[in-house]
Amino acid sequence: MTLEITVFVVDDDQAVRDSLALLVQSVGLEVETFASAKDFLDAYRPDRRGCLITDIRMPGMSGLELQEQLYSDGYHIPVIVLTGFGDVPAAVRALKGGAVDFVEKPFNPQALLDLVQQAIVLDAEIREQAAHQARLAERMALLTPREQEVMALVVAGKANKVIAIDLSISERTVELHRARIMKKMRARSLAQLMRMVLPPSHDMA
Amino acid sequence: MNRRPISHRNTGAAPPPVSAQELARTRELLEDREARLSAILDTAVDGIITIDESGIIESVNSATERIFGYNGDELVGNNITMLMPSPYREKHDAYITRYLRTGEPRIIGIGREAEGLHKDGRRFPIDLAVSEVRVGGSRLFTGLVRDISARRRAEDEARRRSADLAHAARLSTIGELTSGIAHEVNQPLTAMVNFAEACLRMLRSGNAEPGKLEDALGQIAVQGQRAGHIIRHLRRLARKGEAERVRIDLGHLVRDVLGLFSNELHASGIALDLMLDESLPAVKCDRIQIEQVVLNLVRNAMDVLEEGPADGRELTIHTRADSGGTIELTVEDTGEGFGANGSDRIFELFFTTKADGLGMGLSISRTIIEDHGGRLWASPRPGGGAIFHVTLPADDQEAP
Repeated sequence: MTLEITVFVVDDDQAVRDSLALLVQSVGLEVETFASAKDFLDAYRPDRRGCLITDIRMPGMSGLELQEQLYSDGYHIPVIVLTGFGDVPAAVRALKGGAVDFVEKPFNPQALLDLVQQAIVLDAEIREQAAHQARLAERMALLTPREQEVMALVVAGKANKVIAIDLSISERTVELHRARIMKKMRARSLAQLMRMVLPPSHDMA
Repeated sequence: MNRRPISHRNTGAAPPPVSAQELARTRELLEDREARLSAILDTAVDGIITIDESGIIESVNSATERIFGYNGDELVGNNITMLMPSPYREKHDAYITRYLRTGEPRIIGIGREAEGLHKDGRRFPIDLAVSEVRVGGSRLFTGLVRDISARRRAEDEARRRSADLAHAARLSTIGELTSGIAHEVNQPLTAMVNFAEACLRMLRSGNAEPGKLEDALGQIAVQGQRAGHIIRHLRRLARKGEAERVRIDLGHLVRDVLGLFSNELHASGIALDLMLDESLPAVKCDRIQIEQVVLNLVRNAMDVLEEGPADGRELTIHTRADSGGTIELTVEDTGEGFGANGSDRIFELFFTTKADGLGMGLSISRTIIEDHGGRLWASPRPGGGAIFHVTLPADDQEAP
């Protein structure tokens, strides 16, 4: 995974494309431009960090279709949509489809650059989240089926004695499983393990 | 005096000598026939008026009394012109004289729409059919008059509705056009704004590369021109391609356009003063476009007159040719004029003083006239109001 951040620009209008490139470069960001959605899809790799600015009205694949294609392919790059006059319904569709925001041409360049910064932060968060999930999945994969069973009961808040009875094993065996689980999951406490395994909405507890 | 269903003037023809008995029977017969005739005529819905060769009313039926508001006695013996408003009134005697001399009918046996004058001074539209009756050695003319005010009102209403509809359709077309223009023009505008912002940032950072700045500034200029090209292109589109220029008589064109407004001019009490130079040279132009300009100027004048006080509404249209081969058309109204704004702003695109105006009419009109090598301008009318001047070059070629 590369650490370089790139702003991808897709617009069929060369002047708009070039001007956006210069604008983005003027705040010290890397930029790559594409004349069509297809060109972008051909070149894009999901490990590229950054965000995407795409025009909504383009010949061939539209900005909306591009966005839908990216998400259905499992790519989560933040998208900023450029709309024209009276494209509000399309902009709403883009937002519902997960776009960061939309700006209507001609837009305030500062507002766009602010959105780009937000999108880059969002991209980093999404990637961090994804990396976390990946790490967790790797650790979980190290657990034996029996250890997974024990872990489910542990995070459900059951005492070792109860787990031993449930699984018809000795309490001592439960303790051994539990120690191995904590080690493989790299959890220093029960609370930490629970935070790792349980969905984020339960974190408050 | 007895009120008779039919009022008659005594024609004073001398009867031949007959016996008293015969006379009594004949009179009885005649009276009986006349009573029947009167009954028939009086149940008629239409006004029936008989006049003699000099236009003097011989008889009227009761529908005539109802339609015009007079008693029969007030009518019989007077000239028929008392039931006619100007300009029919002044021309009627000449019509009859002409017909008697040439036998060439203008209205007799044909029927047409005309105007009647009510006793209370009100003009109203009528359907008029005239037939000729020969009685003995003299000729009588019988007119059938039907008051068509109600029908005309319905027609006006229908016309107004269709005009509203046309206006709505035009607005929606303009809406679509605006969206198209906006999209096309927003591209270069977006690029210009971005390039400018990038230049500002480079300059503020203190290490701007002159080459990059120069490129970006050059691009701003190019994009500005691109926006201009788009507008020019659209204007050509609006011109419906290369329309053919044909030789036309501007006076005819003005009359055609006014035909569209005749009802409204009348309804709004606008006095029209038309002074068309009959010997005007032809102009070579796109007929539809010039019609659009004239329509626009007349429409504007009527709108401004209708907003003002009800009396003194005057619309004056002149055409004249000057020695330099230029034809001038002026449309003059007695409306409120230009006020403090002067007459300059009115030609700007989207400038309007009307609540529901688009502010496109005069701007487009000026473009059209300038395309034809002419000029369109406005000046204040002495005594209040506005004068719009259109000049067009006369076509110096002889008609083929």
